[in-house]
Amino acid sequence: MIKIDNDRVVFLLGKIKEKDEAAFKEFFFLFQPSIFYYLFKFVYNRATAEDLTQETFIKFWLNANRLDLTLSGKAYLYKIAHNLAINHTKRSPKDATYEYEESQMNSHSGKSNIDYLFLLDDYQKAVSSLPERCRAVFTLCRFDGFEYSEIAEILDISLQTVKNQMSKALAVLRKRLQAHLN
Amino acid sequence: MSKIIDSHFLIKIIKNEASEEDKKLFENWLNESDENKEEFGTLVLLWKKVADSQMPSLPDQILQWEKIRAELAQLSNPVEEETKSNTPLQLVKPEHKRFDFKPKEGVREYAWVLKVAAVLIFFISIPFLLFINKSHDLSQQTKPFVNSQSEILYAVEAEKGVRKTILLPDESLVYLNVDSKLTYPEKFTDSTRIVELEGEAYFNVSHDVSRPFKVICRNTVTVVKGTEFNIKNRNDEVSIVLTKGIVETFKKNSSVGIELKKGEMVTFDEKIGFSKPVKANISHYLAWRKGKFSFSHTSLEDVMDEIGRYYNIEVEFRNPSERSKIITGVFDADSLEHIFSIIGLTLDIKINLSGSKVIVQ
Repeated sequence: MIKIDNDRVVFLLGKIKEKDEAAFKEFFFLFQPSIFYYLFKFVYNRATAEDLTQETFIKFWLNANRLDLTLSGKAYLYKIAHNLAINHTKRSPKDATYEYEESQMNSHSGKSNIDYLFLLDDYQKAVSSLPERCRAVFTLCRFDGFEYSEIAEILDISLQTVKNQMSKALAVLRKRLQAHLN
Repeated sequence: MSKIIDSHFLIKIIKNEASEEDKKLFENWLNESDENKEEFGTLVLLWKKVADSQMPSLPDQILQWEKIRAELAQLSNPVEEETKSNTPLQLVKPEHKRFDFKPKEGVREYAWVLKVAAVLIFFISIPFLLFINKSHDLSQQTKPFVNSQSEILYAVEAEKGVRKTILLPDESLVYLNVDSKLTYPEKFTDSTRIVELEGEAYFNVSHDVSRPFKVICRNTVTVVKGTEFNIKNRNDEVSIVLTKGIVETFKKNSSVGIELKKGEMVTFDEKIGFSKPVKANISHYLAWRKGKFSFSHTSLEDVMDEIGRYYNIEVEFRNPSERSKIITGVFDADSLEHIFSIIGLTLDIKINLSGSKVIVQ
């Protein structure tokens, strides 16, 4: 197994609790990619995902002294990110759908800057078609390596709900991607 | 035997979170019927494929960090702190806490760390950076040495099985892949920034037109002003893949360069020299940054070499003719067993791990 320096992460969290800025910087460089990609799966807009990533880390730092005893630092970070994503999609529901980005794409025809606009493939579209909570459960399990019990804590739902949502996600994905999976 | 084999159970198997007992149970179930095999196969495929998608490029880490720092500095403005006295809006913890470190509190914080550690043990699948090697406090990581021109240099080495991230004195970021080494000076001069690479690294160079950034790798020199690119040297070949901006690559001591544009790559061979720049499949060359192995018509020998480097394991071929078999595909680097079972099935060979050695037969 490749060595993931978990001791280092634990050490960093301890330092962050003491408001050590250098430790926070290192923590940011470690987790910025996964948080950005998590958020992108909810807002499907690169600029928005970037803003929310920033906000997530700022909130994390400001609340670092409240770091929970039962929740790991990483789970706490995701909890913040998830709540920001959900609040954002409530405020501007248009942003939450991939179709929105696609229609924007057309209005920007000729300006095919992949950094600004990003075309989803069939697999991403299938994931984006899942209802929000279902998508959150699946994403946390598949892409962010969390176990069911941790997902339940991040999303504030019961273990049984995690299981139900996960079954639902798999069933929907299987159906939508049938042609690809044979 | 009362355990239900459902999709949740199978996911645990795929994620390699299952107990030995459950794995046995799973094997029996798999061999029970062809439907079971098919069900598992579909799930594995689904699991793998949803992650193969390309994602948008990441926001620039250094820029974003600067924004965060600026925003936090504003928030910690003392005027604001006074008006919101009881909220946790403070960038710096009050001084007295630092000195007033009661033993009781110490024990409590330690308990907290232990609890977090217990949870974190499960997080072995973070495919990203292992730790940041900051140039500011190098004392703990690297010892400087002095070269013949009496410059102070640092050498950071990522051994097999370890990746490192290095923040250079000019705030450029270097992601060093396994089994690679980067040498750089304590301070860059006013006119250039020169570093030397052995192995593979991804460079995110901070923009500074007045001081070109040069990477020496084997017999090549790549010159940039501010951009992102990947350089890889294994055996006699050096390959340079550009993801942003423009770079120019030279043979050492030569003044005729090859200009690369975004999305292009060039290879350099000691005997043949430079290839013509061609369009590159970027996601293939940058798969290692996402914790993946990407192989395209690669011989099993090279595949095993790369995997061995990553996991720091030795590879032994019992039958030399297996070496030249060809593999194409993208694999999650976090499950060795999974990779071996897929390669084994594809090529109809057996790959067994015993201790820190892999035997191909």
